[in-house]
This record gives sequence, C-alpha cells and structure tokens, in this order.
Amino acid sequence: MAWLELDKSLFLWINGLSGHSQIIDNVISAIANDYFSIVFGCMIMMALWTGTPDPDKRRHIQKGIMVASASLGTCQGMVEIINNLWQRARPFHDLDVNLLFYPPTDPSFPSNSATVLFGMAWGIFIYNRKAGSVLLVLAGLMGFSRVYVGVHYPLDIIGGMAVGLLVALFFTIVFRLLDPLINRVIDTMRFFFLA
Amino acid sequence: MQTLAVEYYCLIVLLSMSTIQIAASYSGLHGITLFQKRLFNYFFSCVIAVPCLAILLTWNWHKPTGVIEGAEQFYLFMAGIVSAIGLTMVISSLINHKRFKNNQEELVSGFEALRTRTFFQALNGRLRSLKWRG
Repeated sequence: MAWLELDKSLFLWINGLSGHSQIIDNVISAIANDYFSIVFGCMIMMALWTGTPDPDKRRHIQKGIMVASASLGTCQGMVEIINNLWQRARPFHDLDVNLLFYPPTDPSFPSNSATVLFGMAWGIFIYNRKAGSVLLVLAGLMGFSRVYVGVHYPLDIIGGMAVGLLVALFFTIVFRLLDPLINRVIDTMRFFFLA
Repeated sequence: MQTLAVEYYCLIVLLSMSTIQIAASYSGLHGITLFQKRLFNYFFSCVIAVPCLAILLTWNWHKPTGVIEGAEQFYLFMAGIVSAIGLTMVISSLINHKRFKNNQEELVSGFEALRTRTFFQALNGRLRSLKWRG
C-alpha cells in the first residue's frame, strides 16, 4: 500500500538523522525512554490538582485531570485491542535501521507510550490550553524520539495521537453528561480536604 | 528485578512528594507544607525532584536491560503516589501541629481548609462536626 511505503520512507528519513552526533542521540534516546515522559506528565497533573489556588478554576481543571486519567487507562486497553487486530512488525524487523534503544517485543502499531501520553495530553488540553499544550509538546517530542531511535514508524505515533484524541473526546462527552455526578465526587473529595 | 521495582517506587514517592510541596507552597496550603518559608520549600523540593527526574530520564542508559513491565510500572506508580500523599499528610501534620493548634477559624471545605490547619486537624474537625450532627 502506498501510504505504508510513504510511512517507511518517512521513517527512514527521520531515523537517518541519527548517528551523526553522539550527544543528540543520547538526549533523544533519553526522551524516548518509557519512564520519563508519562511520569513527568502525571506530575504536571498532580501539580495542577493541588496548585490551583482559585476553587472554581481548580474544580474545572480537576475535571480535566479526571478525563485525562480515564483516557490514560482506557488508551492502554485500546492499544491491546488494536495490537490483537493488527500485529505490525517493528521497523528493525523489516528494515535496516539505526537502533538506539532496546528492541521492544510488542507490536508496533499504535505506539503504546504515545497513545497513553497523547490521551492524557488531549484530556488536559480540552480543559486547560496552557498545561495541555505543554503536555502535547512533550507527547510530540516523545513520539518523534521513538521514531528517531528506530522503534516505531511515524504512522504508529500518528495512530497513537488519533486514538488518544478519540478516547479523550469520548470521556469529555461522558463526563459532561455526568456532570452532576462528577461534581458530587469532587464535593465528597472537598469534604475530606482532598480536592 | 525487585531492586528495580523498589528503586522506581522510591523515585515516584520522592518525586510526588516534591511536586505536592511545590504546588502546596504555590497555593498557600501551609497546613501541608514541610517548611513554612515558601522559597525554602521550593528549593528543598527542587533539590529532591531534579535528581529524581534525571534518574528517570537516564534510566535506560544506566540500566540497559532494566525494563519494568508496563502493568507493574502502573501499579508501582499508583502505589508511589498514594504513599506520597499519605506521607505528606502524616509528616506535615506532625510538623505543623503546634503551629495551628489554637486555630479557632470556621472549618471550610476543600484545600482552603489546609491554609490554616493540618490535614488531620481538618479531618478531626470534620469528624467532630459529623458526630455533633448525628
């Protein structure tokens, strides 16, 4: 298929950028790791939950954090479902790549970490543009780095971004429909000084 | 593998505690901060958070074969956050107990109560009012 060929060409171009500078390779490999981006994203959510002084604004952003958390968990499940439907091989199985990372064993499409991070970022973005933009940039950087180090095709990242957006939109609609219930949950948390 | 899990859990606890401290200082929740001087609290939290973030950022570098599986990572992360919240509440309540002991202000709901009370003082006040109503 033509778009898969285009995806491979784009992958080879991005992955071809690696191997020229040891410092840049190390920095991008660090961003690509499974531990930093998602933890950093969650810390931003935690800071927003506690650190918004105005109670009304805080309630609004706390709803966003609930949407983001629900998206995060659901995205993980969606990735597993899609992985069962299409077990796309990793680029290092099919092509001659500069592999700067350990070789993951799960299917390539969609990128697990990109899906989860984009799901979280879109959830926050819908409620708070500033913090959401920071998270989207972080997710974009992480997505790019996963292609750069040779473990994902660009389409895996774009797919992850789309799945994350759909899941976040779904939960935004559900949470808006259930707004009285969500307000009750936040009120209960406020009653016990947790929100 | 177990050592990796413990290391990851400890990093999450420390990072979460410092994040809570920075956010609490920013919103003036003096009842849950460990230090009353805002700048000192920011500094102390950064001293803990920055190395933790650096270790997470360079994880694959230091431990090329040290991979924590996704589900385990999630459970450790959740456990770390819950522990950090618990520890923050307990330690800050112990540190600030005397300071807010004679507070006579009316108890409000939400984080606003933690500006002039520790978490356990606020919880105690809430439970007493429930008992009185009951």
